[in-house]
Amino acid sequence: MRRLSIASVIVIALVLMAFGFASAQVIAGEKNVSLELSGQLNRGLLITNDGDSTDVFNVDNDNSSSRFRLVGIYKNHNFSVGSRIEVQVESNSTSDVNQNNKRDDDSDFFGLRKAELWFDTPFGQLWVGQGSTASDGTAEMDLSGTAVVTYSAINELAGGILFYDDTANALTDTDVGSVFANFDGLSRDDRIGYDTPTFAGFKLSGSWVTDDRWDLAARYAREFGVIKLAAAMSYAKGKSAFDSQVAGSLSALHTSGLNATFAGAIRDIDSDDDRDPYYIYCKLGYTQKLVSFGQTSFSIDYYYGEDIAAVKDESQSIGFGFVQEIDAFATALYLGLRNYDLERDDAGLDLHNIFAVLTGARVKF
Amino acid sequence: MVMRSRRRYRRGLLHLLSITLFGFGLMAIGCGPVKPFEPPQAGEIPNGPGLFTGSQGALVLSRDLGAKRAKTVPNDTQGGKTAAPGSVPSAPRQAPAAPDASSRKTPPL
Repeated sequence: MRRLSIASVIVIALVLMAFGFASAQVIAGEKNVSLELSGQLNRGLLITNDGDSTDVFNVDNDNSSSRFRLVGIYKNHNFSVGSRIEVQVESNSTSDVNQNNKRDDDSDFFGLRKAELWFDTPFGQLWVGQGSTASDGTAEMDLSGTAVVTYSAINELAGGILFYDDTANALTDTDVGSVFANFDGLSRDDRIGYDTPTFAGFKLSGSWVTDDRWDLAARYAREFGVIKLAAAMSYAKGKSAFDSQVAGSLSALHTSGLNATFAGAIRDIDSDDDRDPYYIYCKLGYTQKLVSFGQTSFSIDYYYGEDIAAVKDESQSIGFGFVQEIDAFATALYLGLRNYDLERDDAGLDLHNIFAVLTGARVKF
Repeated sequence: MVMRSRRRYRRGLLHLLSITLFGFGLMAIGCGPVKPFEPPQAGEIPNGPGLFTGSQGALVLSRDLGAKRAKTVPNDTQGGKTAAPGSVPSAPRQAPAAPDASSRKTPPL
């Protein structure tokens, strides 16, 4: 009831704002300023089979969750100041629902993604507040066009689903999300960050993150004749979950539509010398305007990880993604198929593979 | 155990470096005119038009009625903006032509 009432207030507020905008009578008080409202809805159907039962869930696709944002900008010559509040509204996230929790009643579906300020100057950009750290996204470069349903964070397609133990004939408490991580830097957090200006396609970034953590990152993006290339690499100094981490990704797209993506990361955990989790991820795809109404993209990918959640864990996954854009409706229709395989060093455990299908639509409104 | 751990860590780093070198190899293969471009960011709201917000992809409250939006809004994430202004997006979308700002009637202030 409480959730419903909060949602109602926000929806009403957004409708009123939209109505105000649409009337074209509301304008900013000063020149060189703007305030924007934008967002997306991403809903789908998730079907999973854990070897014992098949389940169907109404979900919000956590690969690119439903959300809205307000962005304010002031610009004066070469200097601008910006502010952003971005809120996720995710009911039944693919990362939360599982065989025992089909309605995801326990979690809050409102989540603050970003609340930040930035100062953009010819000498670089300064960031303050909660938002992407320098290393966020460095394991997620992807030019395949299928990232709405599959990219290096393969756990987001069905992260909450629990593995089934064939020996005990019971569900375990190990979910997909805990054993298929992509170690994407320090993610989003409260930080102070700095980006250099771009030189010949290169950009360097750094941030100091709450709780004595920090990270550095380098990014590169260029188009070389028939090939577009995007790459990123980062080093992150953690505290409790890990001591240090190196992550990187690279994606190349040929004008024919053929594309390839690689990602990987490794963590150093001083408190557990036996465990150095790492993974590699590769994806091959094809994206082209095969029909008049929008881009069509296909991809297949493979993930292999070791020690992700426990010593001698072996995590493997093969996936397929299909995305059809419909330009006239700012919509992407998608289908993803994925098999999750976890081998755990425990003679008494026989974990069954999980097979998941996710289909749905993302509408940018 | 510590030695084993260190060896694996170094091996992992070598794999990542190999991937980077492979990328630079691709650059060499694709030798041609070099242009900047802005890669899409996985998980973020995509660039481009919106169903209700039209060609700008956002409802814009502005004195200029959003005419300068493309020049002022930075990317979504820190470190995300890698391209110079005017670059092309990586996943082209058939965006409707932007309305002519000069044809709009700016409401009296």
